[in-house]
Amino acid sequence: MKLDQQGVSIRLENCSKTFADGNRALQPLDLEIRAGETLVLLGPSGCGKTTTLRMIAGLEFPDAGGRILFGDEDVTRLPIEKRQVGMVFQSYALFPNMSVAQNVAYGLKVQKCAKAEIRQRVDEMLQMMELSHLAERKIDQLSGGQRQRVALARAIITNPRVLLLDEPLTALDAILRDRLRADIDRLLRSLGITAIYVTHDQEEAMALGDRIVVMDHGRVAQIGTPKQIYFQPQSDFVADFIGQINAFEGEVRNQWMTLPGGRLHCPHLADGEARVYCRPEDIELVDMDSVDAHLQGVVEQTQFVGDRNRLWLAGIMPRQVLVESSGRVEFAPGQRVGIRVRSEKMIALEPREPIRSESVREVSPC
Amino acid sequence: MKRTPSYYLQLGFTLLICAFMLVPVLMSVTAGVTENYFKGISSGLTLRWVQEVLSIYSDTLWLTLKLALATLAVNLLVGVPAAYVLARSKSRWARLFEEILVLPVAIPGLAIALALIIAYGGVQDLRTSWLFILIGHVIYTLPFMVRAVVAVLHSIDFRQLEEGASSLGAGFLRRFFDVIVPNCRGGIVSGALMTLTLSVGEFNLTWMLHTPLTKTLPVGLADAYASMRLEISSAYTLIFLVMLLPLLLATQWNGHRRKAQARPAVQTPAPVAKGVTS
Repeated sequence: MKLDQQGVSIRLENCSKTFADGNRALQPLDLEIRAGETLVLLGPSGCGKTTTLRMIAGLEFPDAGGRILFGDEDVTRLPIEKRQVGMVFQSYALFPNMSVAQNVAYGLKVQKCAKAEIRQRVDEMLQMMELSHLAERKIDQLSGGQRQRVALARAIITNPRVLLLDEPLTALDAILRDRLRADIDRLLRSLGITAIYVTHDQEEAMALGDRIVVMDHGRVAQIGTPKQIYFQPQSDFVADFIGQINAFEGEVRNQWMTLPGGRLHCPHLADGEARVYCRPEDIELVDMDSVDAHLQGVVEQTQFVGDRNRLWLAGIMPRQVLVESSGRVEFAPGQRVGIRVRSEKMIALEPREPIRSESVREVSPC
Repeated sequence: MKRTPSYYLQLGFTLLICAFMLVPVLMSVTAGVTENYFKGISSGLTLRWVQEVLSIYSDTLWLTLKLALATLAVNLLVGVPAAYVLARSKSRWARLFEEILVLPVAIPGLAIALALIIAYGGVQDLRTSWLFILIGHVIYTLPFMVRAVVAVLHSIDFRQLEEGASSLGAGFLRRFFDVIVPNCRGGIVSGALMTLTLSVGEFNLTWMLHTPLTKTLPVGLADAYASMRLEISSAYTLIFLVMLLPLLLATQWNGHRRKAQARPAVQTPAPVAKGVTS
């Protein structure tokens, strides 16, 4: 089912948000969301992603000087009920006093649609979302996944100009989350609606987003496609936050970086202090006697996760280095291994800030 | 299970206490339908006294009903929105105000009545009107309504429900009547029953505020005990009980219903954990 009304493009101009207690949740933000795209706002809690979403929804208003445009229409001061948005809340906000069908019909009822039309559109929607058999149920008789689908159905039946999703999968368990993520992805593609999706889960963000906005401390850290964000992070924060990553830090001289566990070939770096990142899956394990074994370490811990082994190596950097290898090769703690990092797989960043201590925890299993 | 002597001892004690409390009520009720109380039931049963009460005091019955319903109307119109505003406000003053709301319950009705008389007693038209008693009853019962509704509001995430409704295009009044009020129904019903029960039975305040032309049932009852024969005042009590009992039963029933409703909600996470969807 395609919506009659395609999504609009959305523009935020200079939108900042200071709460009544003086806390600045959002630094001045400019953001452009293309018509029909799914944009994911990603970041740790308190990064301003939910505030941004609520400003687009019309549940919060930007500080003076900010503007929000839906297409060419300035909606900055319009309250949510006048913005024609669809919203899915983290706790779904379904009405417990109404049945599933009544919940889905509510938006149309408010729009004063004719009774026959409401019935027809609700029936269609329930069928599309595979909820027909639950139409007369009360909300407290539904499982979490069913509630989620009712919330989606309720939000899209009114043909909103933009669909806003505030961590809609957080309340569900892992298996269900994976399935519903695929369902939501399919739905957003088939509707062709402009959608803004807030999450703190980077896997969810990569799976669903056409583009991802990574946010930190009320600022945009990076905007890009999932691949850009993953392979070309532009800051330490993004590199650390998305996926798992190893940091190599040291003095570069004549294209070689000196590390406690050996040397790292960095032909693209000038002499001086530098830091490069590398994803665990991009590090190759090589024989100890190979000429490529410039870096050598000791396996400290292994974890078999089916398709691959995860190895934590000591002795290369003060912190452990995480490497992934095929699941069929055996490694034992205490074993010495050599590794090679190809320069084209390295992510280089100017060392601006000391590495955050949290990144240690991201790499280590405990 | 074998019953020990201590079981029978406890049973006996319980029955004794029950009898201690129930016998006066039963005696009063029988007195109201006995031809001559001093001769006992052997003098015959009659509804004569009840009829007599209805002919002498029927205006107090009607006034009591009128007052209870008017108090209820005011409490619904003022109390429910007030509870909403209080629950919505995050300020410390709102929390403080919620506490202050209990004060009329703690202050003796006589003191409230005295304050009302000092403040407004000089306005002759108000002083002689039943509306004067209505003001007292509202002051006395409104906190019960507000607190019952506030308690329900605090137990549901009404802000998010309201945001959900507004995202679907519902303006304030629409949200209030479609989402807030229906989801507070349990609290509103219990507040309403409380209001009716308290208003019908209220004596202290009403006794101070009434005039010979604005007597309610409990005030009339005191009057009857003081000046009528015992059979009449007993019959009067009987009528009073008949009015109050349905309210008390309804309050009990409402409490059970709400508890029963709360139970399935607690169990809902279970199907989620199993990942039941289709």
